[in-house]
Amino acid sequence: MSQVDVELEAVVKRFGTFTAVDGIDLAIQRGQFVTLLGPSGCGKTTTLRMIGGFELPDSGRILVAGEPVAADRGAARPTRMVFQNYALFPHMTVAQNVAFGLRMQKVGKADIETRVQRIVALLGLEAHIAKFPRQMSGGQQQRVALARALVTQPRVLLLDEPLGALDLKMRKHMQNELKKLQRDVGITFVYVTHDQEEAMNLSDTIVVMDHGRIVQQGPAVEIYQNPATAYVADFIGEANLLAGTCCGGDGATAVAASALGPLRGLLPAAHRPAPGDPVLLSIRPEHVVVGTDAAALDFNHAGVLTETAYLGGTSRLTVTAAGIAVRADVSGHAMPAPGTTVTFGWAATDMRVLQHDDRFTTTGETTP
Amino acid sequence: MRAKVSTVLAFLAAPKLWLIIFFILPMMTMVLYSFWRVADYQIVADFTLRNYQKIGGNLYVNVFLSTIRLSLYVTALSLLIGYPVAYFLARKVRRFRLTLLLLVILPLWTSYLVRTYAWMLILGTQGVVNQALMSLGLIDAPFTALLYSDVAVTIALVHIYMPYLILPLYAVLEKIDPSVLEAAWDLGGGRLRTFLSVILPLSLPGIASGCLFVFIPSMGAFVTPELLGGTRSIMIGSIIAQQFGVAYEYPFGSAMALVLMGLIFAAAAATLRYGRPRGTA
Repeated sequence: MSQVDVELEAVVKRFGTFTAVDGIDLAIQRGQFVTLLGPSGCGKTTTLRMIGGFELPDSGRILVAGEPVAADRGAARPTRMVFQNYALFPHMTVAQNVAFGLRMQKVGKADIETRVQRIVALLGLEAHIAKFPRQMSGGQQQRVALARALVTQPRVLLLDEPLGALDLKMRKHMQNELKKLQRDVGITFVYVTHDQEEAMNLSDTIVVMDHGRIVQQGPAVEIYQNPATAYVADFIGEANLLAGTCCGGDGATAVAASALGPLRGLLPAAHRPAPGDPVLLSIRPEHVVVGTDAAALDFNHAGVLTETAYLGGTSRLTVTAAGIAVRADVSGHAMPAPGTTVTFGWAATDMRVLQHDDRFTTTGETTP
Repeated sequence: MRAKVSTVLAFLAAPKLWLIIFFILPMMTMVLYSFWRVADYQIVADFTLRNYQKIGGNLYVNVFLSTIRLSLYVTALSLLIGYPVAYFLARKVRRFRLTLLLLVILPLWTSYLVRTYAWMLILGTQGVVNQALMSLGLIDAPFTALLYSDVAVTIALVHIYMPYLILPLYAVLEKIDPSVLEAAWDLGGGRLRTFLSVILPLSLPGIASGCLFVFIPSMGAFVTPELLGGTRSIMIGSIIAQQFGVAYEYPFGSAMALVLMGLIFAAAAATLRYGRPRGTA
């Protein structure tokens, strides 16, 4: 049933001495909404541009719809790109912008007209068809860019941070539109963003990238619940990270010694630390329980409430114990006053024992 | 410390005064002269339309027309040669861009008189071109038609004024968003079609101002046609210059200069009106 639309095999791309993409293997199923997620410089845009044929890999292979990507296939290429700054033709009307790709494919005039009409209607641009790009808002221009790409009926649509230039409210609105659009047209979307919330909202599959490599890929739920590394845990959502030393385990779980005492947590599939290895222990703020309920959990400890912040739906508490500051998100409106001693804790099934990573300091060290 | 109001006013007045003395007054004088006449080698201040009627005669209309035609040739040739240069500088080179730009500007540091004389040396009967062709045995006698012709004037004017076309065109071409060109490529636009339907229309403002910068000085050129055009290629600038020199016909010269200015203003207005891509402010 499933068919692979985009396939990358051991793809490497260097710019001078900088390795932008450092050996990527990736298969994207047909009709999926896949997001390449990571901070700037992680190689996500270079990867997207290579799929689109804008850059050629230094080594490795990229297949789109079973055919290798080549720079010279012109209009016959199965991909179309939606650029971050829209890249509309400023001297053409909306109708001319949208018709451009069809004109290049030498589609007949009458055919162009009907196809442009159809796509313009799909994106709700009927009223703007005679306008020039600069007479339109950012959101409208973005829609024109989508229409211009989609009217040529690509097999795969590539989107390079297409909502980056919009304000927050418009961005949320366009996210929903994009999701609906992808369902309507039913083609593969490959989307690049550094916004983890956007990635989680939109994607069937998130591909987390770091320093030119893929660190984890899967549905949002899986990535959030079972981050493969401390980098993923920190980048997607929030995490309290505690330094520890592994002192044993049973394959699925491990116990590590930390400043808060021995802690047990689940191990990601690829991480099997030996006793004595340094590890990072990760616990999400919403999994930290504060108050009397904590006493019944696998791990609990007494700490001093050092900070409270009321955020409406939840409250962010900071509890300090043994020099470690632990962030906790709790519901409810009544909070103990700062300075009181409380019990906090979590279930071992919510804690992850991850590989040590120099880039992350223990939660406590930043707020002693 | 507070500046005196009168000091501030004096500073504000200075540029205005400058404009009045060096621009408006001479212009007014020209306008006045153009309605006066010369009698017994004296300028006589009585109102006449004779100077303008004289311009309307066949002889001068023809010189105006041939000046416009030659200036259009010069402009078209400059564009034909200058566009690829500007395009190459703006979009194809990275490393030596500044050096190459400097090479474009370099001739402007040499007096145009010197450059005109240089063309005399190149195109003359004993010039470089003829010498080379003869020593190669391609011709027996030197071409005499090279110098003192429309061709010589055109070549020299193209050489002298082309940098003024390249620079504004370069500035416009360099500003075209590369992602717009990537989008054109992505949508299947080949090189030629992308050039014709995207780059060319977007560079229209640069073409317009660059062409004006060549056309305007060409229309007014007088030293170059004087030296390289001989009697076969006469431009209106030379004739106007003569009226203020040997002919001592300030009124007629003023009238011709004003007509020339009117033509140039019309050309500039038309170019600026139509020389911008659609959809831009």
